[in-house]
Amino acid sequence: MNIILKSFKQAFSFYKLYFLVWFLSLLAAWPLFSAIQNALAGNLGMTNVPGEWLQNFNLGYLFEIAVNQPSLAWMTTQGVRATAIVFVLVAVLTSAGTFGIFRELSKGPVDGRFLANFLRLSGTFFGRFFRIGLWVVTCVLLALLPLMAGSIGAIIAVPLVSFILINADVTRIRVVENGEKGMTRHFFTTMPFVLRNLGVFIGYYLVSVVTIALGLGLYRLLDNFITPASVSLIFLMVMIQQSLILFRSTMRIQIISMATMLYDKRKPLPVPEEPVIQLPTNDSTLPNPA
Amino acid sequence: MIERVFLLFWTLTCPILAQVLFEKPLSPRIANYDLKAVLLPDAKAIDGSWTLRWQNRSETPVTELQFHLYLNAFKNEKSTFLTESGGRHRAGTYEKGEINWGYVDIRRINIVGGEDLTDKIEYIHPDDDNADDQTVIRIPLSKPVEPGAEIELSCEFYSKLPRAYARTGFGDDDFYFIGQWFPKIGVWQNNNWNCHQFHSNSEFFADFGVYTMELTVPKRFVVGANAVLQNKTSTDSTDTYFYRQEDVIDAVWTAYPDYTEIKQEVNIRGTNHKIEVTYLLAPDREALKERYFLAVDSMFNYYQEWFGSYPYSNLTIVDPPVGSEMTVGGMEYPTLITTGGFFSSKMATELLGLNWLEVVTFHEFAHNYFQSLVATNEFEEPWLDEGFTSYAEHRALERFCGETTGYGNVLGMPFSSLDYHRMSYIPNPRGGTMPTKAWEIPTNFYQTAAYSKPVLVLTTLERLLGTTMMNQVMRTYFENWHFGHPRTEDFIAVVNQVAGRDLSWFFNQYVYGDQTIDLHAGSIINTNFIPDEGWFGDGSEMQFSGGNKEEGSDSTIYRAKVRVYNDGTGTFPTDIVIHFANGDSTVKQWDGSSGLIVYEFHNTPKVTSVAIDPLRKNLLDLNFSNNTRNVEAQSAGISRYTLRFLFWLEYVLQFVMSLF
Repeated sequence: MNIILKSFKQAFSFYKLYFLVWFLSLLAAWPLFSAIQNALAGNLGMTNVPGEWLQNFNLGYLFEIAVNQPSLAWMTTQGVRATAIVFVLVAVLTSAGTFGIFRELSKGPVDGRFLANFLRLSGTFFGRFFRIGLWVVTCVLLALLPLMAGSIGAIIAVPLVSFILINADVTRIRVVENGEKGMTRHFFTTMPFVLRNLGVFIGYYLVSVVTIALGLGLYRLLDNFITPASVSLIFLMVMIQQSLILFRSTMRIQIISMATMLYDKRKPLPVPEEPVIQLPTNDSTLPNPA
Repeated sequence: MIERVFLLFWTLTCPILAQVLFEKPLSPRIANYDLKAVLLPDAKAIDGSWTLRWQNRSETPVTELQFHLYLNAFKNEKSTFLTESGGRHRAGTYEKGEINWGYVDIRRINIVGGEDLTDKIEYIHPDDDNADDQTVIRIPLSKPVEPGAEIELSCEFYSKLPRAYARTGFGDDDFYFIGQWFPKIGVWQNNNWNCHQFHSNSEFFADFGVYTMELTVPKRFVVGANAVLQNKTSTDSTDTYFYRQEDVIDAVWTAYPDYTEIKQEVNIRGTNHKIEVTYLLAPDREALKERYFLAVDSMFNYYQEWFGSYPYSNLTIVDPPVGSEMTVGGMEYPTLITTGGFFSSKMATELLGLNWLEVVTFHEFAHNYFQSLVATNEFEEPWLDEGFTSYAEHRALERFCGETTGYGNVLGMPFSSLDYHRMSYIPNPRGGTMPTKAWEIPTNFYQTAAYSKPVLVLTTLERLLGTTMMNQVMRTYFENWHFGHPRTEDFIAVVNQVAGRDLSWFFNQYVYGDQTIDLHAGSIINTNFIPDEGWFGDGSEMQFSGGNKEEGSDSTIYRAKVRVYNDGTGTFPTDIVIHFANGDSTVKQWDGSSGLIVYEFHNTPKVTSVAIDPLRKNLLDLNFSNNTRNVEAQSAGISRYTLRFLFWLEYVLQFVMSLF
């Protein structure tokens, strides 16, 4: 419990970090949003359609736009593909920077400018985090296979996915802490440690997941309650939505913080090096025993 | 002794002394079958026989008979059905393997008390040149059936059931759905046999008659049929069910050990008519009972109000088990329908927000009106059954689930049945025409031609005529043609008669033709109207006229031009509403015939907007989003949804961050 409270406290104190993660999310998503916004405004801005959308929106509109505005549909498809690539790159960059700077911040004040340090650490760990990410995606996809057997498959899939995600976080902590290379080896050698402490890790992660779910649930409630049929209500909804993203960023940092504390607490102590006993060689300078 | 003889006689004859259902025949009763079937589960087959009494109601002698052998569509890969479908139908794919093929083998057919016709059987293929197709046979008669006369035939046949992938056959866990299972006589029409091969995109066509069924199955099975159960007898190992149905066009039945049987009595409001609904539900579907009850009660009353009386006293609803829900689910037979409960599960309803149970149930039951009672030719004019049925389904969904949420509220977005049908029509509006033979409609246009475009055409017609008159059209059509075989022109004649005007212009363009219409609002140009200044007139009539000095103010007088285009090829009388800055508006009507119309206004306030067909009467318009034009841009509605999109994009990125 102490670790959970500490991690929440630490996450909220690293305000620069979670504002940065939130800002990077916004930055990565903005080009696609902006392109679609402009294209729709260009095509439909002079019609009654935006006014109708303030009152209601249905699937028919989406489909008619897709059929009758083929260039918009094409642009959206390409934009989604490009955004997917950007998302992966930004995710790796953010993750590498966050784990890196978190580690440094937890040791004490960081010298130099925060953003410069963040970018430096992102660059340092980018390749390694990318490779871990590939392993995670592959393993998660494999872990989801039991779902093909129906909802009963979730009994296997959910714990497996949880384990993979926890294992990935601990691997990242190890990599940043030790500056190690050889990601594949680390990804798999971390598993015994995580397995040994799986109950504790899952318990702690569950607290974060529940907190995130509560946040999302609250958003859904507000979303159902508020019909943004005017500019001021649209603005209010945007504030609520971005607050949730900010909250989600904070929670990700809290999870990293918690995982690091837990790792520090439970990590195997370094095996002390055995003292090397140098036996005397046949040194003629030594006096012969009497 | 006499009592014992009487008792023995009664015991023996009781099962076959079937109770008459209707005092007077409702239909012409041309083809009447006494069917017997023994289910052979190990062989996945039926050992069957029938006696058929067929009447020649035409003015000409009939010198040969033609029969459908529908099950031979599944005999081998060379049948027309398999060739056309490529082994795929709905979501099912044909599974190969000895046990999975199906066929019907006539072992003997003869005139009762007369000639054996078995050796005279000849396979024919009236629709294509596929000599390997064995779904239609002809049997020449030594002695013609004279006008008004009846022929009585007897037949023994063996029906090997296919693994169900297209409406009929066997599924896993001893599930049987047995349709199109016996040699079935064609329809003698216009001095010819109308007896088409079984095609991938076609259904059926048959005459009305009385059917009795004697169905013997091993004891473990629960049995249902599209008929009224009259009796049941048992031996140690088998049960035999005796069914009878009158004035229908087909006989179908099902057997499955795990059905849950539930009954519901539906009272048609304002009448004394009661209908017993029997549900045969696959395991786990009992949870849907209350939903079914509500939907079924409503649909009986809706269709009674809009079309006319359902004359039968029974309806069986079969909800097939998982694995067979797509292959035999969602199919119609007279007084029996199959539904799609699996897709109506909690997940589909609550997560996706789909009203699938209601969609399928309303649709399949509407077929009892359009094709089972108004017995159109599904081979030649599929739109008359699927289209009319989809129209009925759409109206029922609108009333039952709400105007904008007929199909559901998918991921929080209203999804109406009209949205669904426009999705099918808009991308491919010119793929063909509606009254086309099913197998001649391009596969990628079949859904549009048979289902979606007809819904849009009939709903547009309804909005053109008004709902009251459309109800009158549908009721008259049903009244005139139930127990008959109408064609497209018969429906149009009813429309013209009820509407009191000739609507051929509409049907020629959108039913027989493939015309399209897309009215769109072009430019609105307002220019300052400054009248010439000075003294005008002579003598006492001389007046001073001044220019407009306050440019840009609301009171400024303008010359305005509004352009409206038709990007399609068809016409439709459409209201065009033009709004002015002072709040006034004017309504013009244009049918789109010249491709472009320009409305000019002099000496008026500024035109602020134009709206074409604001009440959305014409559902065939290919693009609603270009039907309006404003002089000032508005984007709040766009931002509402794009900002939401931005939020979810960011949320997805947050998730990706957990992976990387």
